[in-house]
Amino acid sequence: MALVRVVDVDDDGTGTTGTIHNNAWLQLLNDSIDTALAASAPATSAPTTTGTVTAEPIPAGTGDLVTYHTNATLKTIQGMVAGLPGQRWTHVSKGAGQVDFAHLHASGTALGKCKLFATTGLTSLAAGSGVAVFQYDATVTQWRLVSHEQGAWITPTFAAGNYTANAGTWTLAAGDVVWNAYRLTGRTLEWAFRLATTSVSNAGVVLSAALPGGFTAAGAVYQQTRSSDNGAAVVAGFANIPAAATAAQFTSTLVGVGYAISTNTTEIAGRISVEVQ
Amino acid sequence: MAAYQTVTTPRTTPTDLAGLLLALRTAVAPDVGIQVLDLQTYTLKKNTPWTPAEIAQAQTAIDTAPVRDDAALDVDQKVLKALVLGLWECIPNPTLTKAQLRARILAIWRTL
Repeated sequence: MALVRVVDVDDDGTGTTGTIHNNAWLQLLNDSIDTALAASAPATSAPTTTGTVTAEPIPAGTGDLVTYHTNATLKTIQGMVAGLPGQRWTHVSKGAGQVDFAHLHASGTALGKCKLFATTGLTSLAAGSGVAVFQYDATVTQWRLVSHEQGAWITPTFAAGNYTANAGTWTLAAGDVVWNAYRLTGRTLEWAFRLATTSVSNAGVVLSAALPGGFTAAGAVYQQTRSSDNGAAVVAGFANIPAAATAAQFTSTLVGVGYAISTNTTEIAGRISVEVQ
Repeated sequence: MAAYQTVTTPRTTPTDLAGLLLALRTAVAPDVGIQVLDLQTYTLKKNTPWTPAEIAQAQTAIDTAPVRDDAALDVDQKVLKALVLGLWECIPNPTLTKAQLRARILAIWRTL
């Protein structure tokens, strides 16, 4: 914001013409600077909203914006109120609830959809530790993600349907997930998991687990796992995520042998790094 | 309905998991599964609620399970077992039983 310009004609020394550069004149100048600085200072907000938001309210201000999300439970942002060209808006998770952003979501306001690095899944701020910075692109009326730090790794809510077999069933209860957490950096998904005391209904099957966060893989990935087939000694297993897949496929050995029938004795653990769309 | 029971043991040696699983399934229930969380913490799973007697049996089984034998783990890899047993079957009149053959291989393995 430009300072208010006034015509200034230097006094000729008589004290009767032009502008006398006295204290009053200096204060006038300082006030003008103060007004401009105040206008460009970050405007902040601290909403407690939870659930789905299609147009996140914008803090009032023409400078940088900061929103401290203090939601107690999950908040999913599908769009944000339009900003000024080039304006930056920092989102800080400060509450007990996670904050998710959806990429160009159809329900998000047309003047402020979120353009994210990962175009599938949800880009998250872990509760109390994640930060994201967006910049408003007035040409396409979108908030572009320019910086993102998820903060803590995120453990997705257990869903038995995320675990399947190519024949029969792969049965898990919530307690079988010893750990399952992920971290998104740009378009790289890091996923660490250990699934133990699981049950397999058919012999020789390939087991599948959905990628956390609802992401879709970009290219194919092969990765080693720690595998115990029906209580047998732990060996190196194999995980395969085909291109454009939404799940990892597991075999019990590196050469691709399927898993045997088991009751509470099949275990798979690993850490997978995969590029997502 | 899956039921879990965490058992801590004072022992500081790793257990022979295959043997422990067999012992638990014999002593407690045929569907017991094991999650080893660390050297002294085991979470056990079965599909019916745990009774105090079963928890006590599980505790004893873990506390007294044989120590894991790393040499045995190596020798008992599926592919090695299959090779050895396949060779054994090719011998017309073997002088050793399969169990004796395994013991002999294990002894040789330990000297390597």
